[in-house]
Amino acid sequence: MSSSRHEDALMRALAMLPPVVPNATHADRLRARCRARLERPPHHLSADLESKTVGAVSAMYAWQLLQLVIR
Amino acid sequence: MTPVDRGFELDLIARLKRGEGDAFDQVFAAFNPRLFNFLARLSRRRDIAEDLLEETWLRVVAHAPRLHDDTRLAPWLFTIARNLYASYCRSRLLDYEMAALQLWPSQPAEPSPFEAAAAGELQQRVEVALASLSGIYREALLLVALEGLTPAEAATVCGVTPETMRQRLSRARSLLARRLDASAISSVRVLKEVLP
Repeated sequence: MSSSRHEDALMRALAMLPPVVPNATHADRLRARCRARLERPPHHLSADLESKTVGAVSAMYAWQLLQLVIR
Repeated sequence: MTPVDRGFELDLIARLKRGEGDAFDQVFAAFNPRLFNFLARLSRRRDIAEDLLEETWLRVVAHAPRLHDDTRLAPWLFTIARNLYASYCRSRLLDYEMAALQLWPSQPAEPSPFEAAAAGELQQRVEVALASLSGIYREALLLVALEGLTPAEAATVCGVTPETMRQRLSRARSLLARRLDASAISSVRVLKEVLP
């Protein structure tokens, strides 16, 4: 804290307000949930499948076009 | 609040980016009470603060892998919390001057008779005066006076220039002073002398 704030009675009065504390049980549950999510981020399987599918279809289409050109 | 050692903070950020649970626990332990206090006093509603707090931490976890190496934790976390509250207000078209204070589940922890006599009335007056300020002034005071952020950090959190934040702080102080009578200020001085 800066010294100027200490000189200000209003700011001191604010700093003296009792903290509003979160519920301990809720906090622990939230911490555990978030920690689990951080350690095991959700794997975007659908996005992976989608990009692979698009890639495969595009390759097949290109192959068909190439065959037509060759004929 | 204790200022976080910068080296320790940078180490925490690096570990958070790697998804280390222990680092998250340390950040959570240091900031969860502060973020809740900030959100509760900003929203003036305990239930809203609980919802916003949960959303804040979920955002933290989602963005942790993309953190900049030199991020400062306190401004970053308070920015997320503050922006979520702003979104909440916009979604509900909330007027800042809305509800009565609902900060504690029932009553605050039982004070000693001395504390109750000396501080109870004063704290109540300060609390009510703070809650009566409009949102932009309340958040400025909460960030600087209660959470110990510098005015420049508070400006970052609120998305304004440091000069604008200084003006807001100055205005907030005079508004607060106007709403507290002279006896309240005297009581603060007396309390600071008698309390350890």
